[in-house]
Amino acid sequence: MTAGPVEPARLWPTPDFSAPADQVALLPRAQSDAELSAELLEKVLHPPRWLGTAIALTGACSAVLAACVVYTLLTGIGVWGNNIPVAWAFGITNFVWWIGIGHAGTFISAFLLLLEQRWRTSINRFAEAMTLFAVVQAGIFPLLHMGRAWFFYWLIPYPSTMGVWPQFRSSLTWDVAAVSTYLTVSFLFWYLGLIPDLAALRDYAPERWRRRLYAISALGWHGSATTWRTQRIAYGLLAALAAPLVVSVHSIVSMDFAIGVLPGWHSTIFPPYFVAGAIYSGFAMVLTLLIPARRLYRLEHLITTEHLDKMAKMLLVTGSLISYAYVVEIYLAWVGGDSFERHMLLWVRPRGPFAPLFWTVIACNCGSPLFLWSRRVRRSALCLFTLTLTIQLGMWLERLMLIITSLSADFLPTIAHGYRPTVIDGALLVGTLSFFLFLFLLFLRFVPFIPVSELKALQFELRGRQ
Amino acid sequence: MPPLKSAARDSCLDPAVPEFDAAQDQPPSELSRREFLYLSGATIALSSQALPGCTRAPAGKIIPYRVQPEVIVPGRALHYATASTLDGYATGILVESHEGRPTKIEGNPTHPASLGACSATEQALLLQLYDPRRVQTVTRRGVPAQSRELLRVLRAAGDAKRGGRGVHLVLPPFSSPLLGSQVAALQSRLPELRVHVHAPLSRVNAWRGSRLAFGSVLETRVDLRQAAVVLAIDADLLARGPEHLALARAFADARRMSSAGSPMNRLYVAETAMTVTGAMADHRQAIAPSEAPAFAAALLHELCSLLGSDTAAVPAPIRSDLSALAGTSSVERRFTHALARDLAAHRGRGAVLVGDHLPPVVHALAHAVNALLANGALSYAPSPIVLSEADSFGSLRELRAALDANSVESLVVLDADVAYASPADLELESLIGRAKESVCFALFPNATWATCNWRAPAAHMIESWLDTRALDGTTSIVQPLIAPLYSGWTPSEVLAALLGVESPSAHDLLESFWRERRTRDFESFWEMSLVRGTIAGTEILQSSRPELSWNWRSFLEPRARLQHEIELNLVGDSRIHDGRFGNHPWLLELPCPVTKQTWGNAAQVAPALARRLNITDGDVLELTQNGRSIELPTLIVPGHADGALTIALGWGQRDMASTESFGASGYRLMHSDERGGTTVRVHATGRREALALSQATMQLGESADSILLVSTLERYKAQPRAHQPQRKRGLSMYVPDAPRAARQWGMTIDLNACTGCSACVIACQAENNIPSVGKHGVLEHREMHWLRVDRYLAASDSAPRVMIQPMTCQHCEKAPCEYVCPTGATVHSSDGLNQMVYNRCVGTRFCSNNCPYKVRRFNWFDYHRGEASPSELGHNPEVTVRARGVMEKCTYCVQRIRNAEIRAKVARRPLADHDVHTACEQTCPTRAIEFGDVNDPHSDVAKLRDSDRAFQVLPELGVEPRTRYLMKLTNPNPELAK
Repeated sequence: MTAGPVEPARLWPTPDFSAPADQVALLPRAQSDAELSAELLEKVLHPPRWLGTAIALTGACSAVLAACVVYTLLTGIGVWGNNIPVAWAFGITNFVWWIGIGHAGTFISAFLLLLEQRWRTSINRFAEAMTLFAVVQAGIFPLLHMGRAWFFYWLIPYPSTMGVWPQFRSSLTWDVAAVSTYLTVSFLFWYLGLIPDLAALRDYAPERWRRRLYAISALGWHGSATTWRTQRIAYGLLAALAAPLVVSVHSIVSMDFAIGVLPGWHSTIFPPYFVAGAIYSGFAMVLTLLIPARRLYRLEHLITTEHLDKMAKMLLVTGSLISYAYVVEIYLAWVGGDSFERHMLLWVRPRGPFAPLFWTVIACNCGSPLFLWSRRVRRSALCLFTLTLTIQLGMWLERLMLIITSLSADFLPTIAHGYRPTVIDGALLVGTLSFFLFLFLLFLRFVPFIPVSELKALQFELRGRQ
Repeated sequence: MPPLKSAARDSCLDPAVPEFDAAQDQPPSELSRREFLYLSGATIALSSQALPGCTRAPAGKIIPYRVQPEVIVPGRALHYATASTLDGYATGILVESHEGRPTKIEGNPTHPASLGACSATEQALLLQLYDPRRVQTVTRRGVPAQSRELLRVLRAAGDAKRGGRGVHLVLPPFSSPLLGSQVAALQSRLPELRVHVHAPLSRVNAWRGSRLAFGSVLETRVDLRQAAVVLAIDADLLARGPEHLALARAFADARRMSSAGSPMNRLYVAETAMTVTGAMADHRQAIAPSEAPAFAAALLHELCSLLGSDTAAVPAPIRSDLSALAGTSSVERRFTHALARDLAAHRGRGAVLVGDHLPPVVHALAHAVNALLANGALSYAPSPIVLSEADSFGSLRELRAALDANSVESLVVLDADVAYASPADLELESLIGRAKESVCFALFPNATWATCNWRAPAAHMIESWLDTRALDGTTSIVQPLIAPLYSGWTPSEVLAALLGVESPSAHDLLESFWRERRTRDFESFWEMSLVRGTIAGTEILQSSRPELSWNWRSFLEPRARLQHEIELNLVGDSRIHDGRFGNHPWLLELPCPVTKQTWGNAAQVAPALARRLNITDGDVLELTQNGRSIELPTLIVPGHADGALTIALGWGQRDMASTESFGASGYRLMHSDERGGTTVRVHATGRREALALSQATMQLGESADSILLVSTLERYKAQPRAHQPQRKRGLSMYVPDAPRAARQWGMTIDLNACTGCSACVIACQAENNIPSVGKHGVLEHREMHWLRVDRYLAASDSAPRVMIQPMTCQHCEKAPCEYVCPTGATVHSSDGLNQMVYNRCVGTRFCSNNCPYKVRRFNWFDYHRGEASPSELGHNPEVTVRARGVMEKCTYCVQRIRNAEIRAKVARRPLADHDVHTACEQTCPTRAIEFGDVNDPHSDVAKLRDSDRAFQVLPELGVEPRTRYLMKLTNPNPELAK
């Protein structure tokens, strides 16, 4: 039994999408539902050979992460390169970067769902999974960077017998709420969309253990119209809940800096600036993963050049927002009259010891998206892939630059000191990258990464009427 | 101060106390429940903290206070007066003791060389006592031996029949009357005994200078309160020397500026390397070491022409020599002239002081200047140092000759590291082995210890009975606070053994010595002396103004100018002195007050010389002199004399108990002829070495005014409030909601008085159990000091203006650290303290990031875990030892505040103004730090906060710091200011 498409629950009247352009661009090859199901589910049931090797490799690298985490916990934060004044560095950079990456998934799924952008269908699950795994990586760092990580639960408001609560004026307690909410909602959203496909796998899988596994995961889905209707309503509601989270999470993360008094941190433009940056790096990460996956799984007919083009346009928009934020930040410092702020933004960053960092950030984040004005670049997978890597590097360096320049030279010149990361710092970053890929490859291995049911629904919408 | 004679007498560790009372082995006839609990509690408590190093069987420590000594109340610290001795001169100290464990060293307010203050080195004696690397056993050729065998060896060497032939005794300079009488007795008993007194930083040159000028060894004493114009020629009088604590106090008193109308002295400094005193100078002139005689001569010459007929006493030949020598002075005539005019204008109220190491003729010239000006601030008195008149000083060459000739039968070295801390051309390290029998008593396994065949532990000052004298002769009894941890020998015991005493005991020797001298009412004399820490009436009477002789013309020969060569300037280190503290973690990590270097020394050069040699900070130089060379990294010091290179002595000791060696030894370049003034060949090796600087050399930029305020006396007097911008409390939506108690603690730091000597840093470290992080830790900027001394430079590289600013937690009323802490681990107390709750801290470090003063310290590792026993015994039991992963910072010594409050409450009296002293305030030689209740309008701190000079650091942030600073003033000579 296939989980056949039923008329989805309508939250609002669907406008008439009869433009043939979309149809050709997003689903160029006409396939029957059965063909689609077979093709996409087959990829899970009979994964390509390289996948096993890749999973083993990234798994092994993830063990390095585990080793570094244990070493840090047993020895102390001293094994990192942090110092006084640079008390935050790689750890928080990684946190902000990963959580930023985690924004694209929800943005694509929820925002674009609500805006009824049909091109999201082929890539949304991909993006959601990426979100989830990125947030998992992000979650490692705030815990690990604490001097006494084993007391992390003191940041959670629970009714302690001693009547002690977290200190709610601190943005770190807001972080705990924001990130944990985001993780929960992202997971629910992802899983809710996944259920029909898990049910399909349950029905398709040849081996017994696999049927069992998918049967449990599918939570008793039987594809009745009522079930579909309930699922669509829940999905829509969760999308409505997730969409504001996209904005709130990174706004709150940005307040880790904005509520500080440091020159270069103490700024009201941080929330929008961080959200734009987050979506920017998130889209870059989706493309980074999508382009090779599309190629390796031969899915060019489902994830088309049109998809890439649309994603690239998003990159261009968010990249421009970021560039604008940089300009505004510097301009405000210049006219703001605070000599420390001016010193930070007009001297320390562009001309101080970390100037190479600053200019790399500008080149990566403001320079490289300019190429996306060209349609040819937008539609070339290789160019896009290179650009997205550049952007990710740029966004990571931006967070590092933001954190360490302000800390290393704040108010009193006597305490100024640079920062040099240690091997452990580097290993933790590489370790989370591996762990992220590891989780992602597991996702590719066990779950249909293109939402089969949604794609069929889309096909019905686009072609069914013909 | 409780009237108790000796801590050791009451301590469990004293072997003289019988192990158990007579009826101890019987069960108590009636054991009440309370008594049972008391005993079992004590048993558990004490068996769990067995004192290591105790020579007693452990069973003896189970119930130490079967009869509790009257004065010991568990939990209440006791203070005992004693004295520490450096190069023979005493500084009175108070040692705090918790249940028999010395835990902190403070200055003794009744002692003239301390006045309640204490320098970093004296405070560091505490950790030295507990250092597990101390020499612990007697060995003979590396094999453990019995003390009585060593006693036999010593008695054989002191055998009167041999008459002391071939017996050489090496001692550090000492002022102890007991040792003096013992040495005299030895010399009469053993006529051929040779006594060598050795200290690399002794005042021999000053004594020789006074012999030139006055015909006898006289110590110059100065009362800086009476001096309106002070000139220091390469004399770091505010931070070095036997009386520097008292001098610093007097100097600061003359600059206190309690109101705009107060007088203020003027300090001129001519020196080679930048020193603490130089940094305080109103006018500073960099001179190479060889230029000092010419400069002093030029000054005297100027004065002769200025004072005219009043200088008739100066003989004509001297005048002509002076003018010839003055002609070679490279110091700008304008400076010398203005200085001379200033001195002449303040006739009788000036003082010219000369560094101990400068050649005798400079001292003689200074004596002449002071005599001509009839400077009333100066007085002269015989030296308290025994043998200062004799030729024992500097007689190491004689020892070397004797060793060379293989004529040394017995060499006894008492706590003097001659093998390391002596000029390299003597090659004592390799020659000591030639002595038939060599005995070394040392605190640490140093180079001399390693070369002697008998090696024995010396007793630490805190374990010893001795007496000692300050520069002015005031005598103190040194009393122990703990029984010797490693059965160390005191010098008096060694000398007594040489004198043939059967089983010498330092206490009995000392007591009988003084009993002979104070026959009347000895007991109360003894008690009073121990309680006060000084013996009344022992000051050396000042000589009436000594007659100046002028027969030192031969010394006035102009030396050939050392053109195109680099002069070598070897100086004592500001922290480890001559190297005796060369393994002391507190002092190694204490940033040099001037260069801010830690864990090592460097070749200090002027920026101009560095440019000429094309070297920069950290470039390793090979320095060669007389065929011996050392390698040191470059450190560029603005204000250093061009054409000279300064090396601090005392570093690069390999044998100080198997630690890594830091820096390189300047003694390798020292020649037995003279200490400085020679040249050195410099060769850049091309390698680089990271300098462990606690801060970079910082020029103050555009935002200087919000960090610190400096002005001149003239401007300040004209408009006392001109520098006080109208800083009202800005509008704020954030009102702290903490209830406000009646008492509000606050601090002021007078930048006009602070010399940057850094004694407060060590006081804070000792009081608050602050760990050292090692060279690597400093390189990574992870120092744990709660109090740091910031140094800023302004003006030019060649004549920098130095500004010092001690920086610690400012206890902001609207503290930015508090609102960012997610767990509420840093909160405000109702009496205005920014508190740190270690237990609640999870270590996010957000508070440190948000602290504009960056005074918070993070425990990156478990720093206390690596501590080897027994060093943990020195911890202050009233302060938590912080664990890994928590933040810490200055608490305004909250334990002292609460203690004082409790004491006042128990006594049912209100807390008075100076009832609470923070550790930094208490030890500050210049009393730059004032602490108290800012809500009490009559308190000193409240008055200072309201003074014209008070300012906040970074006022624009609106954090309302509780610590305020008082503006620094300089008093430049108008003639030179133009």
